[in-house]
Amino acid sequence: MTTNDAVAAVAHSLARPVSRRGRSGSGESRMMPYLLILPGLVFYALFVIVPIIGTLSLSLFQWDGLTTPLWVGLNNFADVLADPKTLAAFQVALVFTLFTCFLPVVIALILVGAITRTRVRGLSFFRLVYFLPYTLALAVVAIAWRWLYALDGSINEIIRVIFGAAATRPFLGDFDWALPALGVVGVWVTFGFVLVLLLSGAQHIPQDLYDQARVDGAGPIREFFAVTLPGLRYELRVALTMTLIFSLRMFDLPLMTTQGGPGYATTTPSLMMYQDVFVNGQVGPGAAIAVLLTIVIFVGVAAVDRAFGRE
Amino acid sequence: MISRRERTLSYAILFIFAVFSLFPFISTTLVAFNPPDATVSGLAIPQPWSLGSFITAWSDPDAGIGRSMFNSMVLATVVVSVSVLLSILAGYAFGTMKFRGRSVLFYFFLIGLIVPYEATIIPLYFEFRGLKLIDTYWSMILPDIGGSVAFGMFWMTSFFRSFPHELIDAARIDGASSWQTLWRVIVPTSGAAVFALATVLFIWTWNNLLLAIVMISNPQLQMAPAALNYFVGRQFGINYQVTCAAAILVALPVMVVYYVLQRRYGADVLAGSLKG
Repeated sequence: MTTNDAVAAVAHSLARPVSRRGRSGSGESRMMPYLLILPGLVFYALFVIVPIIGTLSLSLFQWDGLTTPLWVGLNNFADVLADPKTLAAFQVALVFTLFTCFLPVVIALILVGAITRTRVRGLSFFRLVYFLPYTLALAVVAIAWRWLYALDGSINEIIRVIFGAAATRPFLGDFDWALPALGVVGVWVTFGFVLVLLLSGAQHIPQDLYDQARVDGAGPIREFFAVTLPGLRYELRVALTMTLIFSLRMFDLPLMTTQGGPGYATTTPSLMMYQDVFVNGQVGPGAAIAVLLTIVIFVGVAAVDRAFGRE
Repeated sequence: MISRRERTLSYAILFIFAVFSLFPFISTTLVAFNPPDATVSGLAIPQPWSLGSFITAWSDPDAGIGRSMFNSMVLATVVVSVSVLLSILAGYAFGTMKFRGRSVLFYFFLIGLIVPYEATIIPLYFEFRGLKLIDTYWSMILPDIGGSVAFGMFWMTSFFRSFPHELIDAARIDGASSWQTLWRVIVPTSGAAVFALATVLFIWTWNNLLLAIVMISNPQLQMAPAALNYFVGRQFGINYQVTCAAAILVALPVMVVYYVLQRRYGADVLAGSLKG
C-alpha cells in the first residue's frame, strides 16, 4: 500500500463527518471560492476588461487627446480601412507570422523528428542553447541584430568572404530585405521556445507506438507522420497560438531597428497604432487599428484552436 | 536500428541550429569588448579587449542604464509577488472547489490570455493621465498585474487540478480550514510550479517595452528596455560596441534567473509553464 492509498483510505473512512461539518459550516465556506477569486478578478477587470471596452469606445470618436472628443461612429474604421498603409501594415504582420510562427514550428518539427529517432546525447545542452534567445527582451534582441545586420557588421563580413563584396548590403535599410531580415530575427527568437515545447510533448508519446510502427516497417518519414505528429497535437496548438499572438503584435523589433522603415516596409499594426495615438495625437484611428488587430488575433487563435483543438 | 549515418545527420542538424542560436550572442559579446572609441567592423574581435564600452554604457547619465535596471527590478518584484499571490488564490478556487459560475468565470479569465496590451493601453494611458499616475510606478504595476493574473490563474488552476486530492481531504479531516490547507499543505509542496510561474512573469514584466515607453517619460523612472530604446535613438545609435554593451548589461539579470532556474527545474518546466 502506497502512502497515497493509505491517505485515501483514511480520508474515505472519515468522509462522512467531514461532509456533515462542511454543511453546518454555513456561509464562510460557500463564499470562500468567490473571496479567493475576487482580488485577481478586480485587477483583471479594471486593467484588462474595462480598457478593452474603452478602446472600443475611443475608436468611435475623433479625438486628439486634449480637446473634447467628437462622435464619428464607424468613420475611423472606414478611414483606416481605406488607407493603403493599414493594409500594408497587416501584410507586414502576416509576413511576420510566416517567419515567427510557421517557420519555427516547421524547423522544430524537423529537429524533434531527428531527436526522437536517434536519442541524442547532450540534449539538455542543445535545449538550453535553443531556448536562450526567447528569454531576452526584444529590446536587447533588436540591438544585437542591428549590429549583426550593419553594413560593417558580422553577417555582411561572412557574406563578403563567401559571396564577395558585391553581395553585401545594409539589410535593415534595404526596401526588399528589411522585412525578411527582421523575419529571420523572429525565427531566431521563437524556434527554440517551440522546440522545447514540442520536445516535452514528444517525451510523453508512448514508446510502443514507435516500436509498433517499426514492426510495421515504417521508415523515419512515415513514423514521423503516423506517430510523432499526431502525438504532438496539444503542444502544436499551444506553440502556434503563442507564436501567432507574438508575431501579429510585433512592436519592439521594428521600433528599435527600422522604426517601421524604410518607407513603411516594416511598419506593423502595433507600431502604426503607437505612432497614431502617442506620436501624432490621432487617438480615434489608432484605437480603430487596435480593435482591428485584436479581432485578427482572436480570429487567428480561433482558427488554430479549430485545426488543432480537442478531438 | 538507427544507422550510423542517420545519427550523424541528426547531430549535424542539431549543431547547425545551435550555431544559429549562439552566433548572435558571440558576435554581440565580441563587439561589446571593443574600446568605446574604436572603429568596429566584421567579426570585431577586440584588440585590445576592453571593458570601456560597458563602463561608458553604464555611466552615461542620460540613458541611466543602472538606474533603469533598478527601476525594472522594483517593478518586476512587486508585479511578480502580487500576481503570483493572486494567481495562487484564484487557482486554488478554480482548481479544487466547486461553485456556481465557475466555468463562466474561468472562461472570462481566459480572454486575458489572448488580449494584447495594444487593446488596452490607449484608454489606460488617458485614464492614468487623468488620475495623475503617468510617470509613476503605478502606471506600470497595475496594468502588468492585470495582464499577469489571467495567465497566472490559468497556470495555477491546471496545477492545482492535478494536485492529489487525498492530501487536501486529509488536511480537512485534521480540522484545517480551506485557508489553512492552502498555506500549510498545498503551497509548501508546489514550489516548482510557483517558481516557474514567477520566472515567466518576471521575464514578461522585465521585457515589456510598449508599456514602458508609453507610461514613463521621466528619465529617472525609466525601465530597462525603454532605456535601451532611448540609447539607440540618441547619440549612441551607431556606436555598436556601446549599444551592445548596454544590451548585455540589461540581458544579464534575466539570463541568470533563467539559467539558475533551468538548472533547478529543467528547461521543460519553464517551457511547460509557458503553455498558454
